[in-house]
Amino acid sequence: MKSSEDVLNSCNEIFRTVFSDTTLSINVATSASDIADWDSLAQIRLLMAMEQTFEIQFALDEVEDLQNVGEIVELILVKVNQ
Amino acid sequence: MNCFGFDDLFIGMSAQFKRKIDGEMINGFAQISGDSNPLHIDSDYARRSGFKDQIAHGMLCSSLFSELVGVHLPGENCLLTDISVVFSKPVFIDDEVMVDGSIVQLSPAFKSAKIDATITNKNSEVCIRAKIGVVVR
Repeated sequence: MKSSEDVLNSCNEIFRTVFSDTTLSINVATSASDIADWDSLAQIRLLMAMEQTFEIQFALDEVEDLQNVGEIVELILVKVNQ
Repeated sequence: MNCFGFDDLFIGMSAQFKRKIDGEMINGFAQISGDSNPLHIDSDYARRSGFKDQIAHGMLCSSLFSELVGVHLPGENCLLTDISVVFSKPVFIDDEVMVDGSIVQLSPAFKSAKIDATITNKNSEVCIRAKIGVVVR
C-alpha cells in the first residue's frame, strides 16, 4: 500500500520532468499559481505522466476541479489503493 | 490524410511512411531556419570533417514527426502538444528514411495520446527517437 509521502515523492519527479527543472520541489499546498508554466497543457502532461507512473486512469470529472498537489495526491492514493 | 477520432485509437496502433531527404529539402530548411552550417550544405566541407557527405539538419528530419501525427496518426484531428527528440545517428543527403510511430498511452479524460516514434535509415539503424504527445480534437 502506497503512502501519501510515496506518492508525493513520485509526483515531485514527474513535476521536475514535465517542467524541465531538476530543482523543483512541490508540497501538498503547491498549486498552479506557484509554478509559472503550469497551464492547461502542462496540466494534461502532468496528469498523463501520473496515469502512466501509477498505472491508473483519471476521469475528466475527477480532475477538472483539482486545486493543488494535495488533492492530486489524495486522488491518486484512492485509485492505487483500491 | 487520416482523420481518426480518439475512440478509433488503440495502444499499439501505428503508422509508417518513407521519405527521401534530398538537397532541395536541406537547402530549403537552411534558408527557413537560418542554419547554414557548412556541415549541412557543403559536401566537401562535410567530407573534410570526417563524414561521408552532407548531414541533413536534425531538426529537418524531426520535422517529419509533424507529418506523422498531423497527417497519419491520428491525422486531421491532431493537436501536437509536446515532443522530446534524441538524435543518435546522422541522416545524410539523399538518404531514404522510414518514419514510424506507435501509440503507447491513451488518456480518455484528456483525449490525449503518447506516441513513441523513430526515424531509421536504409540499414534499419535508428537515427532519431521521439516521444510525442497529442490531443485528439
